[in-house]
Order: sequence, then structure tokens, then C-alpha cells
Amino acid sequence: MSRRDGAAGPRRPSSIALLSAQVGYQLRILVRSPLGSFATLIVPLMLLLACNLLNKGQLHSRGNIAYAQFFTPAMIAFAVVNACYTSVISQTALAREEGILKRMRSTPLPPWVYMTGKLCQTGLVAIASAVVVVAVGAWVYDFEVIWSAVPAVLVTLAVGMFCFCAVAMAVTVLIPNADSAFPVAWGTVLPLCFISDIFIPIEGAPPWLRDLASVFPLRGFADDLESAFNPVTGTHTLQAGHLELLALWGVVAGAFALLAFRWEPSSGRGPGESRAARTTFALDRARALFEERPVVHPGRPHPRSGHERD
Amino acid sequence: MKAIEVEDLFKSYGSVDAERGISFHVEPGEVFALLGPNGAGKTTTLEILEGHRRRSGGQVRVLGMDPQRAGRALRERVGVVLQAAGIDGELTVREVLALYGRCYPRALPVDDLIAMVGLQEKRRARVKTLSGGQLRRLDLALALVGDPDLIFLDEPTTGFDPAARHGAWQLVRDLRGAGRTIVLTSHYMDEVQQLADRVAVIADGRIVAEGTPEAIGRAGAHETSISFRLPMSVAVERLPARLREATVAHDGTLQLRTREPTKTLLELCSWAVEHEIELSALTVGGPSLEQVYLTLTAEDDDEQA
Repeated sequence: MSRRDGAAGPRRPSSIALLSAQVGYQLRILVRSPLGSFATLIVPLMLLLACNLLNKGQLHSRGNIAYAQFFTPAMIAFAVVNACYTSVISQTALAREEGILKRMRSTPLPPWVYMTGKLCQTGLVAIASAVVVVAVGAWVYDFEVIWSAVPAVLVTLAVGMFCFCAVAMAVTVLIPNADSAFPVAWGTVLPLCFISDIFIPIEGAPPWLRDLASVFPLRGFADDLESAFNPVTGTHTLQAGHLELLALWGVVAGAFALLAFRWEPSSGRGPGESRAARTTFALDRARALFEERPVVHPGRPHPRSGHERD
Repeated sequence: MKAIEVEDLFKSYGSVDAERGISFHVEPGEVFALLGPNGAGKTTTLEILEGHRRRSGGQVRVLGMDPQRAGRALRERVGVVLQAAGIDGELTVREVLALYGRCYPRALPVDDLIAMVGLQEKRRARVKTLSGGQLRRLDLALALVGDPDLIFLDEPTTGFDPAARHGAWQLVRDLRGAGRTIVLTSHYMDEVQQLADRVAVIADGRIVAEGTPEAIGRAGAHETSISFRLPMSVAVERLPARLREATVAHDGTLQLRTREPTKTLLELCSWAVEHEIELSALTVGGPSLEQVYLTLTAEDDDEQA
């Protein structure tokens, strides 16, 4: 263990190297967690099979298309929400409460690298899950992939993933402990799925329910995917309104998460530590996300070494 | 430049004051211990120094930087042993050290670290299969992975078996020998006496004593400790009232603190002879650091009451 000499030392690891290590780490822990893999990859597939098993024939309200042509895009939407919303909430809240986030924050790893690594892993899993759903839908139920719609679908998926990840991070801020994560995640997503044409087309629903569903991002997201793959009534192109709503939800939720995100477990908070104090600290940390601090070598004065009083 | 300078540190949680004007400094290459009962403010102080917690007032400099603002530049030079492990159980020991090592510009070789903390046989084991003591050793290795100038050890040997504890002590001595600065908190007085160059005793958010372990021990030198055991059949209540009031029981041994050792010992022995009671394990000596510490923290409680 040699003592350093204070001269300019080895260089900092590059952000790309750090990011790739983080993505690899996130994927490795997901693969090694059977429950996590099952919930993320298998559940949408099981629902696809169940929905098609329970609904035979044609869907008259959508131009007499086969049910599989409706349920497969619906399950793509569900797979994305499952990976980007429910899984992100569960995994992030658990990592925070187990002290994993706090430990990460103790290292020089920039917070944005950790977060981006997490989001890259989530995106890869969401895409893998969607591809599996499409493959099984095409193989088992003759789901027809409309290739001209694929560019619009990819854009919709990208905006949707951003939106649901951001909302998940915002919800995680509000979750008090690890035990609450799973109920909150599923307790919010399942009702939305039911009113957003995911598990069943709800043409007969009262107008207020459809209006309510339209306020949330899932309805428009599912609608866009279903429309893109509908060979009869579909548009196969981007639809105005839905993407803007997704982006708006994503930006607002992302801004909130950025400002209020906590790295410390709830049990580590001081008694009565005020929300305002935490918000101030969160603001400082949010600024640090985008600032590269100068490295101060031993013996060299720090640019901000003057004493400051709070 | 001092490794750490803390001046008039305040920390409030709403109406609760966790730190009430703490000041101390740590010299480079020194082992400095923060000692105090649970809730005294040791961990809060450490977390403020690490940059995990925002102070309410006062000045803090760690390696010349303000931990609230320094960010990556400070974290590259600091190693931390946290109270909670916070490690993904699905990774192996080697993978964890490699992952965290990548974050630092001067990471130590993973295999050297594993050997340093004695986890060679567990290098390919998943973290979730490690025992409590092994987990703490991995924790220690993680604090060292970036070859830090300054190391914070929050109760570093809690959960260690005696052999692992002595191994960790040796590691701390080696780190000190290599010029590292170490700040540790501990519940173990013997650990502090073994390792620390200087100690600050914290009670109720204030420093009630500071100095070398020997100097703090000498602070109680005007008092003498008399310890003894009573036979099982004799209750403590049978002791004369004056002696009973000055007696505390600890692991079956009774301890008397007195500033008049000759008179008190005569009184105790006369009582024992008169009642034909044999006092086993009878010893007379100066107070240990532990006794001084208990007195200091108790005095502070009295002042608060």
C-alpha cells in the first residue's frame, strides 16, 4: 500500500467505462434474481396467453380484427409499463432501503451514471420483453407485424419508456419503506391497465371513466401501439396528443424526482428532518449531477477552501 | 493542512438538536475516535463529514474541502465503512470489489484487497451467503478499494469474532503506518484504547472530553475503583447504605468509586468480616477508560436533567 505523492495521479475512469460497468451490474443482478426476471419477462407473456385464451374470435369494435391483433400490442404496452414502472419502483426502493444507493453515493460514481445505468438496463429489459411478446404473438396467434408502423412504434416506445421510468422515480420518492414498494407499484398500475384498454377493450365504459383514463399516460400509449398494429382501422403513424402527454408526464415527474430523490434509507433519516431541508439538499445534489468538480490534489489549495458559514 | 477541521458544528432535525456546537480537528496520519452512547451524535457527525448529511451551522473542512460541496473530488480520496452493509447480495465478493473499484482513479488490486481482509476462500461466494463478520470484512475492503487518504469507520468491528476483530485492528494499524488518516466510531473502549491516538467523547450532541485515551483515563485518576463479588446468598441491599449508594453492578461484579479509598475499603472489609462474608475477586485500582466514559456521559445527562 504505497503512499501517494500528491502529484497529478492516474486519470479518472471515463463516463462510458463507468456507465457500461453499471449497465452490466444492473443486468447481472436482474438475471440472478429469479423473481425479478419472472416478474419482468414472464408476466406479460402469461397475460398474453391468458387474454387470448379467454377471448376467441374477432373484435368488432376495432374493424373485426382478431383478438390477438389487439392483445399483442396491449401486452407490449404492459411489458413496457411492467419493466419501466413497477420494476423500477420495486428495485429502486429496495436498493435505497437496503443502503445500496447510499453506498453508491459514498463513491465518486457520478449520480447520473448510476441513474443512467439503471435506466439503460430497464430499457433493454423492456425491449427484450416486448420482443418476446411480439415473437410469441406472431408464432402462436398469427399476430401480424405491420412493418410500415415500426418506426412510429419505436418512437412511441422510446417516449413511453422515458415517461414511465420518470414517473416510477417520482413515485419512489414518495414511498416510505421497502414493504410499501410492491403494493404501491401494482396498486397504481393495475387499475390504470383496466381502464386503459390493456386487459380488455372497454368500449362500453362510461364517458367519465374514459376521460379519467385519458388524463394518465398509459391510455394514450396503449392506444398508439394498438392503432399502429391494427391492419384495418390503424393509422400506422405517430398520433398527435398522445406523445405530448407522455412527454409532459415524463418531464414533470422527472423534474420532481431529480429534485427530491433520496439516496439514504428512510431509517437513516434524522428524527423530524424537515422536508424543506431535504429539498434544499436535493437541489444541491441535482446541481452536482451536471457539474464536474475539480480534482484537488494533496497540498494544493481547493478553489473553495475559504471558510463559509451556513 | 489538517485532515479534518470542525468548528462549532450544529445539526438540527426540526426542534431536535442532534449536534450542539461540536469542534475538533484531526491531524493527517492520525487515528481519531468518536466515542459516545447511542444517539449521542457520532454517526450524524460522521455523515456530515462524509457529505451524506447537511449541517445546520458551523464550519467543516475535510481534506481542505467542504463535504457539502466537494462531491466527486472528495469521494475519490475518502473511504467509508457504513453501519449497514448496503451491498447487492447476488454479486460475488470479487464482483463487488471490481464494480466499486472501477469508480476510483487509483483502485487497489481486487485480489490484494481480498487477501488483506482475509476473504480468500470467499472470493467467488455470493454476498448473500456471507456471515455477519465476513460481510463487515467485505465492508472494510470496500472502504479501502479506492486507496483513500482518509477513512471513516463507523463501528468497524461490530459483529466480528475475536480473531477477525484483532485482524481488523492490525489492518487499521497498518493503514495508519501507511500514512492514512482514520476517523472511527466505536462502542468498544478496548478498541479505542488499542487504536486511537486521540478520542473525543460525545454526549447529547456535545464533546464532553477530548484527548489521548491515557489523558482521558487520567481525568478520573483522583478516583479509585474497588470491585468485588458477593456470595449468591447475599443481596446487594445488605451493604451499608453509604456503600450501597456508590455501588454499580456490572456482569455480576460490584464496583465502588471513591475518593477516600482507605476509609471505604476499611468500611467494606469491616462489614464483610463482621457478617462473615467472603468478598471474592476483590481488586483495588484506578478507573478504566470505560468507567471514566460512563462518568462523563452520566455527568452530561445530569446536567441536562
